[in-house]
Amino acid sequence: MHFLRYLVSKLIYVFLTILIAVIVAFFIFRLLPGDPTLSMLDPRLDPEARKEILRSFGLDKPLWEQFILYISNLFRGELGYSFSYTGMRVTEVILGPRLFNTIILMTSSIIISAIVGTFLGLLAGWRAGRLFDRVFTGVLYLLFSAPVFWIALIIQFYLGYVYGILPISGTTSYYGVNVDLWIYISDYINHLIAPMMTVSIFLIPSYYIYIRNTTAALRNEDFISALRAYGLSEWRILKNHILRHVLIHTISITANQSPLLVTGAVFTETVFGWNGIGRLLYDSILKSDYPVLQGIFLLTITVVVIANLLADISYYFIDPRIKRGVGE
Amino acid sequence: MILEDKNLLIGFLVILFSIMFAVIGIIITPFDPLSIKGPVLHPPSNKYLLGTDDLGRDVFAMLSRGILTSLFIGVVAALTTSVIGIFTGIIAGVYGRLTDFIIMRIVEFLLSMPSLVLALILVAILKPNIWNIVLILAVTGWPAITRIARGYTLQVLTSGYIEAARSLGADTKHIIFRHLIPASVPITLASLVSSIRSAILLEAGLSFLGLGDPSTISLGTILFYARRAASLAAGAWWTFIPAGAMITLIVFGLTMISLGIERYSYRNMRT
Repeated sequence: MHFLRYLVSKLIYVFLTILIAVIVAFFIFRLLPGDPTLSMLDPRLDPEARKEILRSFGLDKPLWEQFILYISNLFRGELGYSFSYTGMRVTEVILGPRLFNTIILMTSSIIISAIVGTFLGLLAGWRAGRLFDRVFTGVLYLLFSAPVFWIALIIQFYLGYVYGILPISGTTSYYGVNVDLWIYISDYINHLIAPMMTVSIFLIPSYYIYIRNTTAALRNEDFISALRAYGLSEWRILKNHILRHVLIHTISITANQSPLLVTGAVFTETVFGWNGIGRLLYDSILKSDYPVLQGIFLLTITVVVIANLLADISYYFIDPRIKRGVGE
Repeated sequence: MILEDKNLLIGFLVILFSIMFAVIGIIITPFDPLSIKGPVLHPPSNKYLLGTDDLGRDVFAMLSRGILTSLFIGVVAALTTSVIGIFTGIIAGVYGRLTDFIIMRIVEFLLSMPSLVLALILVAILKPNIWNIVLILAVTGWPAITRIARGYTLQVLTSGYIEAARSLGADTKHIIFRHLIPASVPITLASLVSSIRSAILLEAGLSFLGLGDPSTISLGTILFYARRAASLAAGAWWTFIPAGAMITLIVFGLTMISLGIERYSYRNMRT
């Protein structure tokens, strides 16, 4: 299959999903019960003044007109103003330090868990049925079942409160204080460790389980027996042949994990007071900040869809079967 | 069937253990779990098996109710999920064309949307009572089952026995209710169990954030109390370790059952 055709078929899917998200984001906050303006405006307000405010936001217009306005604003990157961060645009609240912090936390955790999970999965799968495999698979299935906020609480409790090795909460100790850049960075990393451990421990099992099962199945394939018959060492087979196969899966798991990443972000950032998008989502719910919620909703779906698109593109180059159109 | 498969056996034993734990717990703590029973943050002892929390409530009493609440919400939500999923899947498969297109675009959208974000936004808008929580869990869970039911329907529609039923004069309604729905139930059984699993985890998460039904105690609520009251700073491990371990255990049991069912049906398909 030609690359362009492949890309276009994936892009149509991306477009459709984002379109649905845009429509849902508009209606979910307007059609469901509960009037968001009630929480914003004092109920004792003069009804005339209330109408005037609603008019200034365009909320007196019919729904379809509001929808067109919303779409045209969206194209200009205009998501309106936050309810709780007075005077700040939604884009200012979301994009900026918060997004940066979340990206740092998530990328570092993905890298750690992908490496550890793939490595352990390879070892266990290659020796499937042996003691190492049995013990690790059991333990990792238990970890796979543990809720991420519980993992976060345990790490915070033991490393933060009981032994005092790591900071309990926050992104930095020098908020609003001018310090040397290196001191700031090392302090930031110090705060990063506990949430990063939490998200990594949360993600490792899904890499492990998948890679272990794939490796265990590959082990019995004919081409592996052939390689053995050629006299290749176990280590070389594992490194040159199995690993190549398995890496495709590592990429696909990473893409499929984006919902898990969101879950991880919300709970981990909330427990550790990490100033990122996940905590912003939680805070916005407590404060009924609908514009920010709408913005996070659109951001999340865009990120997830783009992650899937990137994974699809990388398959095209890694997996020769797609180029040849096998299985289409 | 249960004794044949190790995963199924472990899974059922674990779930049985947690239910028995809850029942015995309720029998030996026959009082209102939210009532104040003793000193604040008392460590586990003979009198308070798992200690007391920051208000002097018995953690063991709360835990045993929490297990049943979590299981109940999980099962009800998963059953709702299955009914919606099987129904929409079959409708999409049978009617095809535009119906199929619309249903499947919604399904794909919901599958790529992280369920937690959707659930959090719905919680922000709806009142957090137990039935709304079930509704939210069902809304986020059905697409996975729809996909399986649709795939199965498409596969079965071209097979012999539906053709035979058609030639005997069966209408679409008869085929849906007499053939497709009953046949879809076993196919979606493994997914039903995994939806109980995700529903329990999601409900625990919402409760942990303080967004669950405030009038019931689920396992997540116990963790919410522990975190809110800074029991961690006081070194009170018993306020959050047991409840989290119980969630892990129940979810582990359900994971094992769903793996077992998958493997069992896979084996049966081949023979």
